[in-house]
Amino acid sequence: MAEAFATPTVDPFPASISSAVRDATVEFFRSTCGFNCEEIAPPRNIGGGDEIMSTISFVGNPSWVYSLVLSGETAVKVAKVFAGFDIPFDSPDMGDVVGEVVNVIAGGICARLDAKGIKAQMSLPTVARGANLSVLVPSGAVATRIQLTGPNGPIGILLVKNHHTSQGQRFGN
Amino acid sequence: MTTLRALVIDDSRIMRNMVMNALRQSRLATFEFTEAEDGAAALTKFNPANIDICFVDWNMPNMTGVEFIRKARARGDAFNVPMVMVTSEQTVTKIEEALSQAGADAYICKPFTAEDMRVKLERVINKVLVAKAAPEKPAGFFSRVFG
Repeated sequence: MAEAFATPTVDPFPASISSAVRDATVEFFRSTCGFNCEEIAPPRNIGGGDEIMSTISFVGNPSWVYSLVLSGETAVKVAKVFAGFDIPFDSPDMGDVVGEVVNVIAGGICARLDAKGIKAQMSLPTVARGANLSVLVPSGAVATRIQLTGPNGPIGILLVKNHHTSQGQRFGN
Repeated sequence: MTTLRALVIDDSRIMRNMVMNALRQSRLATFEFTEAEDGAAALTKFNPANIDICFVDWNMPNMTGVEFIRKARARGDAFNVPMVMVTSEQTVTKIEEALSQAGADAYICKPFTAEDMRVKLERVINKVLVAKAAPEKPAGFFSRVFG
């Protein structure tokens, strides 16, 4: 049993998932918002300020979580293009529209994964808004950051999964 | 122009507005809208006597859009009310589930434009408009021959 609970030394986030996430996100901002996003590698630390983050879970094997972080200014621009009218950053509708943006991106991610034979069921999105948002990743989880150029500062993506789920059926899923 | 009574079901208020705006801009018909924020709320508002067409999101709290369609179809008096999925789900499996198993009549992937709506809904909406324009009693053989 001891080895079953040992922390693996190497357990990177699956490249098949991260590439599908990057492609779906870039495609959404290009086709829907008219922003040509390019990956910033390695990701930079972003200065503080108003931010909004929407998170959605993908249940499958593995199960994992996708978070999209937008600066306040980028969120206002994206919301205007997506919804077709101005939405102030502190409006309740801002959470609604960013949640819907992530929902649409998640649909693109699922389609790309499905084409690779990876099944994933997406959850409802949740949204957090504030200043200097940070995600506290549980110990033992595998996380990776992707950063894209946006119209007003970088667009941040965080992917998190429990490293155990890539190794089989340990949690019964 | 005939007015269609549409039930728009989505947990996002913004998305309900986007659906309604796109439908208005499509100029397929004039619409009178009723809104519902999930499948369960939609079931309480759905009455085939008062609703001509439904626009249904998939992923919603309380009851999904596909569950709503299944339950609405199970009423037995809602076979003629078109159900249009408007969702970010775009895998073949999901599309087949909605169209072949649940009984949806059309499938529109988010994001969409008014032109997408017009192209994908023209046939469905024309069918509803023709049905609404027809006399209430179906014109069978005897009514055609004997008036």
